[in-house]
Amino acid sequence: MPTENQQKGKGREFNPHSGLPSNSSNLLIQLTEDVHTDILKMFIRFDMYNQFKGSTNCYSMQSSPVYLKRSDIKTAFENKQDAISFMKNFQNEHELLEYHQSKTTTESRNAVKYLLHLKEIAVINRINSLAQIKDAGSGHPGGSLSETEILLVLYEIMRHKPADSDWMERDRFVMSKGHATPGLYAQLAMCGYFDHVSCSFGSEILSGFDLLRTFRKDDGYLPGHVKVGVAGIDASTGSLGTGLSIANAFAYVMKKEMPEATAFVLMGDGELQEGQITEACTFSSHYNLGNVIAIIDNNGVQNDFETHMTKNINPIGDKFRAAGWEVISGGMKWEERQTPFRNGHDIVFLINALVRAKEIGREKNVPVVIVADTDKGHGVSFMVEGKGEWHGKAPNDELYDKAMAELQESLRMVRELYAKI
Amino acid sequence: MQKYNTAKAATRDVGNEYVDLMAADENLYVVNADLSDSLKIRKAKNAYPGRTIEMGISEQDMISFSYGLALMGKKVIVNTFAQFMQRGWDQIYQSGRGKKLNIIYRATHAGIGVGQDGESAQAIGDLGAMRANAGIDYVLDPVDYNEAVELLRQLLQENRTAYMRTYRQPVSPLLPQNYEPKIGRGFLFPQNINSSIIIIASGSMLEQALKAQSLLESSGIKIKVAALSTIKPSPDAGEVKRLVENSNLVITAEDHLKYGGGLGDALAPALNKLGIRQKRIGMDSYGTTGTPEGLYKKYGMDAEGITRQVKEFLNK
Repeated sequence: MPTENQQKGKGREFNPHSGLPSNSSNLLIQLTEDVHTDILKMFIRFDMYNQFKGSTNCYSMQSSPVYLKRSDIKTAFENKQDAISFMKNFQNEHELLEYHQSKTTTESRNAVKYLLHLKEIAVINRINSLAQIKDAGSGHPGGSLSETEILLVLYEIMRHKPADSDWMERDRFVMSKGHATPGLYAQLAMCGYFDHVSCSFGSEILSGFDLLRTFRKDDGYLPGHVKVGVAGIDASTGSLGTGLSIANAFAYVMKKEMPEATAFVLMGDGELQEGQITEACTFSSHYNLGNVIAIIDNNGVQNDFETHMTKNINPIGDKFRAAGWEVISGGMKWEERQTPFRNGHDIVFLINALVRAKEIGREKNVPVVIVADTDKGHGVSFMVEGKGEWHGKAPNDELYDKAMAELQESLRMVRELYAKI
Repeated sequence: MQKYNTAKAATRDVGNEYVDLMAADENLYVVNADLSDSLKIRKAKNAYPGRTIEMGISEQDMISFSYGLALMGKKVIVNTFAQFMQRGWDQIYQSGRGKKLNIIYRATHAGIGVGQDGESAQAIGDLGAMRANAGIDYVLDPVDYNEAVELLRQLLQENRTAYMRTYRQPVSPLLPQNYEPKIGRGFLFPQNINSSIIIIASGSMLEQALKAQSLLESSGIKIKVAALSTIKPSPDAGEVKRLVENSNLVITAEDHLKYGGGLGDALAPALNKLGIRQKRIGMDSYGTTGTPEGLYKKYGMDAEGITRQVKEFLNK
């Protein structure tokens, strides 16, 4: 966790909102020279969503969707719990990387490997999210790409058993933004939830990652919006605003019957316009549900346009705080939002936030919300720049290839980075 | 079958039974949106505070919350006014997606019979709205306290969702003690069994229909009366046939929009198929402020109003 100095913004030269070194713009200018030797600079370059804008070289056009699987993961790490404990010393990825670069230790190497492992999976999940949408010809890319790291880290922290999805004592997750399914399905496939499912689809019997091909299809396994019956899904959603109420019920029962368990819910920022969330918000605090953790995928964009232009729901944290919640956020003021480098894509921030949220909730007996600032369409430059344009439609062949080229470049970059750790 | 209640009681008093039901089943939860006394659930609240959950004035939250409880393996009775339950219509619909659960939406103060609050609190489209909700398996409009209690008990035995409508105004027991209420079944009163005219009534209209039967009889017109509380699923053809046997005029009576998806509409296809003429008694549009008696009179839904309309139907 940050030291007092860091919290006050003293001592370190990091922008407290973006997590970037405060001289990052200079750094980026110098990138061309030493990018292949300085891992921190390489990392910054990797993280710039638009770094690969227009990048098409090296990759053949592939407008028929290709899915990546667990066997495509090239990175590995030694010990997850050690890595998570070590990450607690840092506010964000860049701090961890910088530490590792200057004082390489066994622990820091393990933590950075774990970080890059998750970064690689995040790119793979993005590729699989867009592949589903392209395959189906429809779906919600923007929100699926903004939630990628949140879901990835959540499933790292949650107590769950993909091989036994009905395990009664498990943590529950409610995907309140129930339209952003491609991102969730990609994550569930990665966790292995679909390995235990077999489903007939046309003349085939499908299982595991192959089920992603059935998204939104006639007689497919994966419905357009979140629905109970799909392995790993705890509650049906799709009509916005219902998830927190459901998570409250899970938490209410768990508090009595399985005190170890936590109820997580992911909501979009636009979704917070729904009045039911205000109703549910009060319930969580009134009943001291310290086992409810809400995460806001605060991508700042909703169906029509930017959230603050449509109906401004900011400041989000203050509203939850006023309703009796503890708030964890990157501290960025909504007026100062700028792309890229949102805390909602920062794995170190998210891991710490979730671990801390579980502790705070139980210590103080209050619900905790994590405001994760994200980019709608993160990882694909034109989707981020398109604002509301990429909320709910599939890219054409040309744009799909463009998106894949950018993501493939990310993948190559993270693997290259890993090789240098 | 529970103990037969002989005193006058409103169907909304089923809330008094929750304590016993909760004692018998530790998985049964009751949720409420700030209407404990109207719903008669204060006793349950005192006896089982952990399982009788106060949601505050938050119907949508209450319904999604109940869905969450049901997903955790609980049986849930959701309680509020009939008009306000409809604020969660979409939440009810969404809660039915993907898995069968035991959730009972128990609405009260239904119809214009609620009286003086006026039309803002008078649910006259709820039966239709809930019948049109794929998240609801059964829509029930019980006619007296004994039937309401018995149907509620049956609903808790099945992994299904139901909307049960209850009323504020007390009524004497109307169904005989030896009758066993069942979902999907109606009761044909034995009086004037050979008449070719029948009123089929649901909910609070049964009392008025039985009174109208006496009034008509004193002016020489004999009619039959049947109680039918199952609105969804529509009673099967056999049951409808049993109730309307030898009839050539069926009058459906409901404290609801008469063309609003309630009893009249639930029976219309079957009656049409049997080639039997149907007339309807009920509301055409908004109610207004007034006493229950005054409003039933105003809209022709009290015994006199029904009597008058039956005569008109016969003259046409």
